[in-house]
Amino acid sequence: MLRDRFDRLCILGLVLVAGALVALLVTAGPSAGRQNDGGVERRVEQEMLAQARVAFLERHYGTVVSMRDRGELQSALLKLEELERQLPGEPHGALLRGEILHRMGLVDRSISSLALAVRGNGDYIDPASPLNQRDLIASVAGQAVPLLRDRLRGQPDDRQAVAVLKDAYYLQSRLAGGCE
Amino acid sequence: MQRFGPLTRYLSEKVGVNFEAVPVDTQDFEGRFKAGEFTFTHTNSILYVMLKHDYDLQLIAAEKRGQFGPRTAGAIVVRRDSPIKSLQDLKGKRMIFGPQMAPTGYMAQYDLMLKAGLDPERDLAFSTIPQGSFKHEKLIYGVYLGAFDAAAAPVLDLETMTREGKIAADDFRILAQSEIIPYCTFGAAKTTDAALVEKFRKALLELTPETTVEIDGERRKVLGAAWVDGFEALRDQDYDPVRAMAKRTNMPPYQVY
Repeated sequence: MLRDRFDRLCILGLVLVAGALVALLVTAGPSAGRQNDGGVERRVEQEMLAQARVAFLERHYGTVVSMRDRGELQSALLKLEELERQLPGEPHGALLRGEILHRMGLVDRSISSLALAVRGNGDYIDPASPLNQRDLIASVAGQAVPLLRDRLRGQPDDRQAVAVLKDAYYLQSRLAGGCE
Repeated sequence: MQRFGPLTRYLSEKVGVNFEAVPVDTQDFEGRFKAGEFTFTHTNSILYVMLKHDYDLQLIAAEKRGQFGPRTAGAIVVRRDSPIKSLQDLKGKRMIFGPQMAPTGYMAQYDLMLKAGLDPERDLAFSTIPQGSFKHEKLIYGVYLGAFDAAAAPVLDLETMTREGKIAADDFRILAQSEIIPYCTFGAAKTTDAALVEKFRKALLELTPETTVEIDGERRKVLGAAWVDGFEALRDQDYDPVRAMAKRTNMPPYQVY
């Protein structure tokens, strides 16, 4: 096979090229520019998804929000019942219901709805999210805990109060940064 | 009565007593209770207040249904396109009410009108109460179909009909809504054994949507069959808004002739 000097030179050349290729493969990662491009792409994608979700929620729940803002709280709740048939289990319905029930003075019912919303979508407690409702959730949970503790002191076997208090603690834990 | 069959069976099994559910017309309830026909009662909140006032009925638990749990409200509704914009506009109009002993289908709306300075007996051109079953649905449809200008609609029925797709939230305008008051309530006669009452109460509060019983060889969900979401322990003072409303509207047990 290695009969003359030319053959040996060819083999040596091949070994050098193969070595160079291996060295290139081992040492070359994605460039900083390409990494940045990937990050930007992901951010753009997330931004687009967030905007699409906000637009989706505005399209479906806009009437509820308008009714709520006009003070037609019961009509807004009825509209949510109607929407529940089209979008069953959508956390935004639970969030709006929680807010409206709070405005109607039903703190315990409000807590249960808000906990359902946060369990369904953590964006409601994410300060960076356009759906952030931390202030509302903190305020309702803060009101609910002492009320429920008082109720439980009078009626320790009140299962409903126990369940709602658990929901209130859950919300406070999520607000503080705890996991589910 | 099929609705309450699984609940009756469940309570019999849990409490260890063979219960029998007896349907009673609201108007006859007090007389039959006084005669000692029932030990445990399942009534609306006006009847609970009456029986507590007159016979010291023991409060067991309240039924949970709809957005407000063991409570609900009464509303006065008109069609969305109605020229009636306020309670004052009801003068000279046709209005349909629920049965006279209905807390959120009659008393709450009567109270709303009195508070607004209207006399339901004199200021309406015509008022009536539907006959037969599904009275609350009938009065909502009565307004929807244009037979009446306004209806005394229980919010719970508006919720249920909207959820079932029978009406749309945009079909009606709510002119006024009462405060939220307790609704259906279980009670026990004063002389009932305390341990039995406690067992009954515990059985109700332990019910979950998954609880089933066997009826005629079929497993039935207890709460689902009874159209109930669950039961909640209320305190007697939670019924004070019902008492205040009954006093303002001259309803039993506070009526003065």
